[in-house]
Amino acid sequence: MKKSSRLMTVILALTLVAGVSLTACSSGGSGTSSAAAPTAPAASSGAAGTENTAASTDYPKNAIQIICPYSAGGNTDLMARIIEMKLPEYLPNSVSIATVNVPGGSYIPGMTEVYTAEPDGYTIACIAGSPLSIVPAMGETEYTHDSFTAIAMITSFANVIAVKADSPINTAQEMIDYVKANPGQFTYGVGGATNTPNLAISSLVMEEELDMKSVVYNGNSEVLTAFLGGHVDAYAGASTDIRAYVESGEAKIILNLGTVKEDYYADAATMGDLGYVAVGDSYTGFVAPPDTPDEIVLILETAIKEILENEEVITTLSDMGLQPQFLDHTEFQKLISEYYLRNAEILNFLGLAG
Amino acid sequence: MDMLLSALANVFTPAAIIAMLGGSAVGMLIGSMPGLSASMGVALFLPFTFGMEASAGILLLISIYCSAIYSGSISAILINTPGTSAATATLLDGFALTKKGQARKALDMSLQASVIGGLLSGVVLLAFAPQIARWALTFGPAEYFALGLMGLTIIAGVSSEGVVKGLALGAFGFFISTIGVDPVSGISRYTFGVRDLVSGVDQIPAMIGLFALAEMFNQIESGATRLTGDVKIDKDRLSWRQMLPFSKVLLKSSVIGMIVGAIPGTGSGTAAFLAYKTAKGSSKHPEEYGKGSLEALSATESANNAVTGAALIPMLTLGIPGDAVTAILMGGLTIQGLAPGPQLFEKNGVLVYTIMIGFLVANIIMYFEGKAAILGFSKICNIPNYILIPVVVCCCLVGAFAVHNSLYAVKVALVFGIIAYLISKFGYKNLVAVLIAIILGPIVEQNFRRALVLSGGSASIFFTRPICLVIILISVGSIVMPLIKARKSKASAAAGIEE
Repeated sequence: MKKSSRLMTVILALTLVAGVSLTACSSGGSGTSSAAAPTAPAASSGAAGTENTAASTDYPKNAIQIICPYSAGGNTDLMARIIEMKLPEYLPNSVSIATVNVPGGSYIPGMTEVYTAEPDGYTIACIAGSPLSIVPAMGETEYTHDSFTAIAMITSFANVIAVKADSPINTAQEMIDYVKANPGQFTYGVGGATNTPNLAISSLVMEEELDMKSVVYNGNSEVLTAFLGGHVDAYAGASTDIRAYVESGEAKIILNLGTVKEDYYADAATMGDLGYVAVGDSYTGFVAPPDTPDEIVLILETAIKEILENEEVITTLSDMGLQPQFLDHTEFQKLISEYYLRNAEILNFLGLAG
Repeated sequence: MDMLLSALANVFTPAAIIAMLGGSAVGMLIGSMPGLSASMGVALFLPFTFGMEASAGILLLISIYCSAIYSGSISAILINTPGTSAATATLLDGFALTKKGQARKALDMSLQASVIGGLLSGVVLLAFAPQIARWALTFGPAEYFALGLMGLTIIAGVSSEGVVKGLALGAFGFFISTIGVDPVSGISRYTFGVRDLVSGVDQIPAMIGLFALAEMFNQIESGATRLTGDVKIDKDRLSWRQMLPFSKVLLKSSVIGMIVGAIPGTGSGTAAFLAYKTAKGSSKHPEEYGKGSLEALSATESANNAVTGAALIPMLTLGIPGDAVTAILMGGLTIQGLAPGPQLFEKNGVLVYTIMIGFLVANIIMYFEGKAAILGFSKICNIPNYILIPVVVCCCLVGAFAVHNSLYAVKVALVFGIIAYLISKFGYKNLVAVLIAIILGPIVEQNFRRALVLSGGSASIFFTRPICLVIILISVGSIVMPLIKARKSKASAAAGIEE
């Protein structure tokens, strides 16, 4: 008797717990609002600000949250934090800034949080190419490439194809000739099935009807491991990650999948040289929720532009193998959309479009 | 030599020492909290290091890393919940020892074995880093697959309720690991249109649900006043002298930990399982394993901390982060202008040695802080359930939330807690097999497919590469040998009766 009543208690407790968790999820944005709690009071003033310019000019008054849909320690996260550190100095009012990592789920959870946030400038996202120029083309998102309000691009680097220094292949054309002569023999490692470098290569594969094997790893560092260990013929990924090996004479870059050029691969052919549209640059920039007022976007855009002229920031970026590359909000949105349209075509070719 | 001396000077600056003292303490707290993982702790403190001097900053992060990997075992031992996934294997014997009243001994063993594993790996890091890094690169997809397979075979060894139940749980865990975007093809699997499931099921919330919440539900049902019931807690400690009989196991497990740690992308959980398996295979008392064996604990604890030093090898020498934690450490170094890679040694030799020597010092600091912490932690056994359970459940749910800063992981934890509670009613009480499969499933599956892509679909790739073949043979042997032995002893027993 006593035992069964205990069982009942447990079942009741379980139901209660389950009930609470279900309510939490059915109320939709509750996860969002709890994470964005400090910005809640600002919501109303920001909304009013869209009509009243006088109100919006005192932005920012509260803490600003930068949502980073990538894990801590990665490239995009570091960029967010570099800006985070400098932003208080460069905004009209010094407010506290916090970067919150919401990684995983093809960036959808993090981006949805920003998408549904109040457009008051107190929740913004730091993104690279995938969240807006690739993932929305695969379906599964409520938002698309132009749903957000672009703020500014801060930097961009090219993805490249590299081979070992002792490889007989020296140029992009030699690679294409080799692959055509030996279909199915050439292997390249890449950090994700739908990441920027793989889509850029797929566009080459699509145009040239190449038969080469894509070996998909989990992230760029795994690709680097496989490449250095000689398990794949070529490395396809960020130029910044292979730089040390090009400089140490172990690897050579044969194709620049994007447009950005650096000293250590200035001679490598670009996709443009081969006559194709280049979508192999990885950009990093900031976007705000849909319908964020222009005044707020301008304040942020101006601050970011000035931060990118700060000597300290330039040094930090160059240590990471990057240069500041500012694009204002209209140019940045144009770039996001261009990439999105081309990627949608490629994803369609790969059978991955949504 | 000059470099070593200036590195020593760097390590013993007040700033660096304070950073390590603080880091160890913070790491211990974070690691012992179920749900707060080592990588979360390091990520949390990464921004603090931006303004610090490079060596002190990186030593702060390394101290957090080492002591979080160690202290994940504290909660595994005391409340049957691994604080980090590195401590999953600790579950097998840790809580059993507590139930026998030997919590204090188990905690001492865990700390001392961790320090031994950490120090040994630190020495190897200092002496052989470049050579080991190059050797580790010979591991391709086929070898990763074989290594994962070997880890999976221990499911049979930990299934105290019978192999069939163990395999069923393993299959369930394997299935769970396939939910979400398949990294190889980019296609979503088993998400049923639920957006959250695209992220897949993370190890940490699953672990919280399967162990912490399920244990708490069962405690509530049993109505016990304390977690360990009426068992009297032994005050007996474990001296270093009493560690001597375990020296062989400690050494072997540390070597396993170092090998696994040096291979990027495997992790301390895997190392602990492999060490457990090896120790059991050569033990004089394999029957004690799973029922509270100090020897088993010495194996898992030394192995998972031996990973820490070895994981720094590919990061420092090749610029390849072996796991989530080293990825964040690398971010920390990069932002200081010290991007790890093949030239780090030449360009910043002093810093590299500072990290290596600091790593050893951090382990020693961890020992003393751990000793102090054990005094406090071992009292957890005396806390009545009506206080302990709500506190643990709260910590667990907060920990789950912190995984991705989202409620999704909290829901995962609750669902797994309920599943674990319900299936325990059908006799499935030993759920370690599920977690082994969740941790190793992706390694096995993805690398199997990568290997086949590379070989053009031919399975010969698994049998023509020597390292891979040896690992596969060992795994098969470890399953077949006990069967043959059992049959032989049965046969001889039968023959004995006839005579």
